Amino acid sequence: MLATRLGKDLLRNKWLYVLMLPVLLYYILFHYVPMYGAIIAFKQFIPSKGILGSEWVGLKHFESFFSSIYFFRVIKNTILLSFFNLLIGFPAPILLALLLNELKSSIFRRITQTITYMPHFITLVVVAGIIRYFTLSDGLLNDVIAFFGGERISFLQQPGSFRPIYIISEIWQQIGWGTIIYLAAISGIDQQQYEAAKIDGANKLQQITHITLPGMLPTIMIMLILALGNIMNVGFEKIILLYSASIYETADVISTYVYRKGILEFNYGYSAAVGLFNSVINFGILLLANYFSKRVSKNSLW
Amino acid sequence: MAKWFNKKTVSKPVILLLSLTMLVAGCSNSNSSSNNESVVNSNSNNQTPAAFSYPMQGNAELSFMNEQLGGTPEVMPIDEEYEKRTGISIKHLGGTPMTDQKFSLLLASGELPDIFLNTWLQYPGGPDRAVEQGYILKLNDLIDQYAPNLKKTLQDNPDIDKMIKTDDGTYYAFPFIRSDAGRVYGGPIIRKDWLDELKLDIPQTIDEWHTVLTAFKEKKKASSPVTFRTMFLGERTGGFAGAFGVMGNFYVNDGKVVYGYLELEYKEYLRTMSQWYKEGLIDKDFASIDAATVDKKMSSGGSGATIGWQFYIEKYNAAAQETDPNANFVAAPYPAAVKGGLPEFGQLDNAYAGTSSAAISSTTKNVEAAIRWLDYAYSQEGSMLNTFGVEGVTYNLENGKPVYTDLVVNNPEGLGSDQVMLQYSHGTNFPMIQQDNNLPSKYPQTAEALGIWQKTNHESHLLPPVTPTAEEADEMSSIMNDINALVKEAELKIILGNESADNYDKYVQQMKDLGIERALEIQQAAYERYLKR
Amino acid sequence: MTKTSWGERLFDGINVLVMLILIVITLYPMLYILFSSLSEGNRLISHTGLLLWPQGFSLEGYKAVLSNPTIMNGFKNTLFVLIVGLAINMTLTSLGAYFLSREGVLLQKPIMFFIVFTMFFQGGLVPFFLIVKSYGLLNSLWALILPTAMSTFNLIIMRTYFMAIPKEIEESAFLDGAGHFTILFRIFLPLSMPVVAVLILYYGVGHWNSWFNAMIFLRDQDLFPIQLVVRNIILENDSANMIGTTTLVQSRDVAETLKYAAIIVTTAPILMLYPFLQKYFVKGVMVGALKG
Repeated sequence: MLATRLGKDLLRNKWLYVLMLPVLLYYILFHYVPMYGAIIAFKQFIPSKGILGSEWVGLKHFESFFSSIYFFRVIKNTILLSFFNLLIGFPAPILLALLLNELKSSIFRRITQTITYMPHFITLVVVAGIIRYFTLSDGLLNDVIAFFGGERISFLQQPGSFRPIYIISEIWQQIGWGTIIYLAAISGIDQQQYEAAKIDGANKLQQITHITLPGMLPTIMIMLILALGNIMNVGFEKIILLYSASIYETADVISTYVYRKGILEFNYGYSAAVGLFNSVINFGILLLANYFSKRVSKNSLW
Repeated sequence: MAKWFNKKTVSKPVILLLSLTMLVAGCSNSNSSSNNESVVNSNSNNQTPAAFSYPMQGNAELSFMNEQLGGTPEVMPIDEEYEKRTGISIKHLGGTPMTDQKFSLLLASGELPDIFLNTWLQYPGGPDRAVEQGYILKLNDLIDQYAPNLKKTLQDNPDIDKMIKTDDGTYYAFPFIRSDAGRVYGGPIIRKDWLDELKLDIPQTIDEWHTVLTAFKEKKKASSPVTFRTMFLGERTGGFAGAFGVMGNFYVNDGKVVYGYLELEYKEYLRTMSQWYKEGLIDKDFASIDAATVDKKMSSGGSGATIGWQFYIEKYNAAAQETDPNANFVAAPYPAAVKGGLPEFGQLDNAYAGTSSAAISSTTKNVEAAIRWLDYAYSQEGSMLNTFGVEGVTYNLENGKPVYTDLVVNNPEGLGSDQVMLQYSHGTNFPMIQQDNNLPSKYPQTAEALGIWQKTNHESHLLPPVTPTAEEADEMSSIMNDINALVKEAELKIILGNESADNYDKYVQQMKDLGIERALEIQQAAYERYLKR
Repeated sequence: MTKTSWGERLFDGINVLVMLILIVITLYPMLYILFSSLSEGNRLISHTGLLLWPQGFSLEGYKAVLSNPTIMNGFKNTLFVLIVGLAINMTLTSLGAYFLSREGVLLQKPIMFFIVFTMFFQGGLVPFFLIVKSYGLLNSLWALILPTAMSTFNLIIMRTYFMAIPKEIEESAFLDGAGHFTILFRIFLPLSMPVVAVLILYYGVGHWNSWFNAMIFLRDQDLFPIQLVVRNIILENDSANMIGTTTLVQSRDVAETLKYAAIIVTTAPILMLYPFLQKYFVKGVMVGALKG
């Protein structure tokens, strides 16, 4: 039954499948063929013995991760940082795209767009240097605080201020770059809808909520699903550059913890195990997000 | 619409691209294999000639990597001179430290360079394991056969011999042995011009440091009288902890391996630092700053003292004198408990720290050439070349003593002497017995620093390059991972005043719970095996 | 046209103000880097407070970067990877997005799942390296092109855009006898210029900035892309601060400005890409295309 349906489908859409062939080939050659390597999460990997030849150790790496005294702390830090970053960082470029779209002068709009997207290109090493410099106890930020009569704080040594610093700098660096996709979505909206709305007497806000936002919704939902599927991944390199032992309490995340362990012993099995753990959670959340998005907004990955 | 797309023009390039892909892929394949063969053909007969003399015949070519991340460096006169003298040409393939991913990819691909400079002592499970897993060669017989210079050096210097082999007597690398001066390269740095102005002497004890820093704060209005990165705080150097008779990490006290962070004195040291921090003597931001910030504070008058590397003295003097011609940074001795006493710790590396030591890959086609090339550095001429450069170019012998030429001392292009020597010699980080080259530096303060920082009892506490067994090494690393984080966090919490020094006991207990005593047992056993070598 | 109300004008005013603030905040760091790159190293090191002008004036940093013999080669290699890579990226991504946005294809959902799965589960670096090596791509620029021939994220973005194209357009083309290939390249892509521009930017910037694959797959220095060349220049200057055992050469004052000069040299060209693509972000592209 299924076989005949499949046969019919393959016949009917044969040219579509042919078009898809190079894409499938790519995924097989460069993603599925190397995937056997994931089993090193259950092995004591020794390069000379190869992946298949290395000894099985079962769940040893997982146990070692779960039993660390820092396990709960790094999980908590990862999720909280990611969650707040999503909560504030996700809507920011959408808002900027809407505001940019409302600018009357197209030259001003272009200039704003070009400038706000520039920080994306600065390497993290320099970004981290600038952040450090501005958050010193005698840095610019503290000068402002002191000017208003506040007390100088060494921000990067305060566990409490790490998350805000991380998130604000993240928005600063990525907001312009992030708008690009939403601006493209806005460009795809039919202008006639706006004209019709104006004739009906809709004001700016109504146009935004009734035409622009719904027009962007498929893009927003897909971006949200993908972002949720990344909840266990945080900007590892940036954290490494910014944190110190004095703020491990909030800044030490899964990837930084594994990185420090990696310096001591290059245990690939261990990092593969932690990576697998992250992937499973990420993928689970993606499936959930996709399911709800399909139910609520009719947008989904499949 | 047609202007966007025309069927014929797009489909052709795509097909072309794909076929091109295959073509190029094929080409690169055949290229690399033919390359390999050309390396092989050089002399393969293993008979030792009765008397070998450089240059070696047969135009051997060897691939080479070291442990500095980065690309292939430019070919320098020293490389050409080396090739001329040994008859062996070197193909430099860049470098990677062992902790980088690139290293394990090299292992996985089975394509190690013929000669690989790295810290083989740190190989997970120890150097024996690297030999056992078949990456690098056991060199014992080969040294007997082809390396008369290294062999003689080892016979003449049993202390070196002891350091560079493993417990069961395996030689795994041609070692980089530091000269006595090369073993010290970091310590306290202070602004002498401020001290002079305040009529103070260079501080020698913790109390004197307190006085000086307080004066810097109150009279010189320094926002952070002393600043440094946390790695200088008892971790890479003894820092101020040496005066309390402790420092971080593992070391030896009267034949017993101890972990400094567990010692009672460590708590007292933290208490003092915490007090200093509270008084505003230590940089408010020290726990989170990077090297560039320290540089800024030091060279702009925000700070008057730091702990750092030797070349910082040069850097700070040059930068600060731009705006304040009187600025004068000099090395200060590591502080002692009492005036005239010696601190227990400063900064001192083992003569053999394991770094930049050359192993020979087991896939090398021309083992003899690799060994001959490396062995040259341990010969008399090789040592002169690595230390002083090329005779007649960088130095001349006067009364049997090398004297630098104007090319070095008075470079016509305005290069510093160290920059010139970098082109003509191997001053450091090269497998050899390092000799002092007495190179003149721009600021005499820089050269004086080593003698000042050397004055400690550090030597008697040094843990030699021990080699735990493979199983022990695995156990060690899994124990130490959490302890390292714990101890650093505790240390900073206390100094920053977030927690009282009395709470340190709690952390000591926690380290014990995490198995620090087992780690000490392992180190002790390895140390005892080392002594018996 | 209704005339603009008072409230709307207030909104416009505030909007412009917000944008101006944003411009200042995002522009300053760029200027900071520019000023640093033009400063004299020694004066830059000792400078404190806001940097509002180069400290002294020196082109030493630029000299140090541009005198590196491999840098021009680096630009050439990057350009090759960028152009060839982009052609392959865009072709494969549009094919995939077209397939995944059709209706009534039985295997579509499983294939989508099959593709998204790879975003989360990978074999890890070692097997990836070994596989690419086994395809004979080691030490070849194709190692920088084929393994990144497409990105799942970008595929999904394009598919989402394709799905929003009204069915009627496709149906009428079919009635005119057009095949899938024609529909994709003569109708869909022209209708999707905004998203094509976005993807060119995403892929292009990706190729421009990438150095990791080059680092692991390339041995021959002549093949290095610009970012790897520059990274190596910076690394050689930075390592001294960690290790401490290097010679005094590291103290040369160029080191500080060199980092910033390197950033300017490598980012300026790619920043130029954006204004060219910007014109595709104007409103009403689809409507215009439909009428044409």
